[in-house]
Amino acid sequence: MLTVADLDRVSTVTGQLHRFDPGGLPARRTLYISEQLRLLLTKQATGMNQKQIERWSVARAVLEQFVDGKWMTVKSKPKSRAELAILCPHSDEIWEIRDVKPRPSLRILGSFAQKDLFVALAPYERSELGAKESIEWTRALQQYKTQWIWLFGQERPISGSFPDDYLSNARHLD
Amino acid sequence: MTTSAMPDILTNILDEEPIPSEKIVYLQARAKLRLHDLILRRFATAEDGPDQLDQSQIARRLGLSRARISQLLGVPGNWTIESATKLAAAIGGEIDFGWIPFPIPQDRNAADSLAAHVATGQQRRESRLPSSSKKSQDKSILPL
Repeated sequence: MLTVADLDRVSTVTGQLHRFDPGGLPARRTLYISEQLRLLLTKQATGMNQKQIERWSVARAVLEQFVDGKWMTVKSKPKSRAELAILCPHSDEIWEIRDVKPRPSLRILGSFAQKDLFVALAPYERSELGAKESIEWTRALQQYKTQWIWLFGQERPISGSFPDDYLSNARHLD
Repeated sequence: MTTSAMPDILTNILDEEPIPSEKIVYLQARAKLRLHDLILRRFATAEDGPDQLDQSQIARRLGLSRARISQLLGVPGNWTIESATKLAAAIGGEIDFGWIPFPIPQDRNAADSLAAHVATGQQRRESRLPSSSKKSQDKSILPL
């Protein structure tokens, strides 16, 4: 199981992973973000227009909510609306943070290294991903797995019973 | 430990006029997310309470379907004061609001505390002076 010390070491060695620490109150959950996501959240990604800067500011607020340990909804049915969802197949242990409003809808793919310790690696506008099981979707998941292995080798995300083994203060609505 | 070095959004927010739109959008999102957390937290409390509230009961109280309640509670993106108030009422309460002042920049904070310290020292010194000396002190600071 990956620990905070492991993640800090990967951060130092690769420069491609960062602790998301918005300051203020002590974090109740822990979040690490990829360099690609950090650039979007800090307005430093190449070619961002004002609309994208505003949109990723909202995503930042969502990630801060996660770190603050606030109640969050998790998706339990294909059609349900929620802030977090585990993707199919569940055995891959890939989750998405779903930030749907305002448009464009955003998705941030990541995995739980431990309960309440999330690694957010791959940010997308939903439209970039295409329909589930499309070529774009399949490619995104494959790239995610490659990125994970590049950072963490054979270490796997946690698996457990949904959702309480992954997240405290998780609410699934049926 | 490596940190993300996320720049603070709120310190110095009032230094730019108008306030940048991305900071306003960020604050609006935070307000909705806090409201969402409040409603979900109160719902969880009410579930474990004597009435054992559930989604079906909320749906009946609002005259909506259970599926619609799931949609409403799922994400706060479209929430308004009106819709959040309805959900709060169905859960058994009303929403109150708090005020969080923006953080004061560290250097400004230090300057303020230094000024307070100097002013306190000045008062202490003055309190030890005879009244005639106090007058001369007062005159000495008049030109300021």
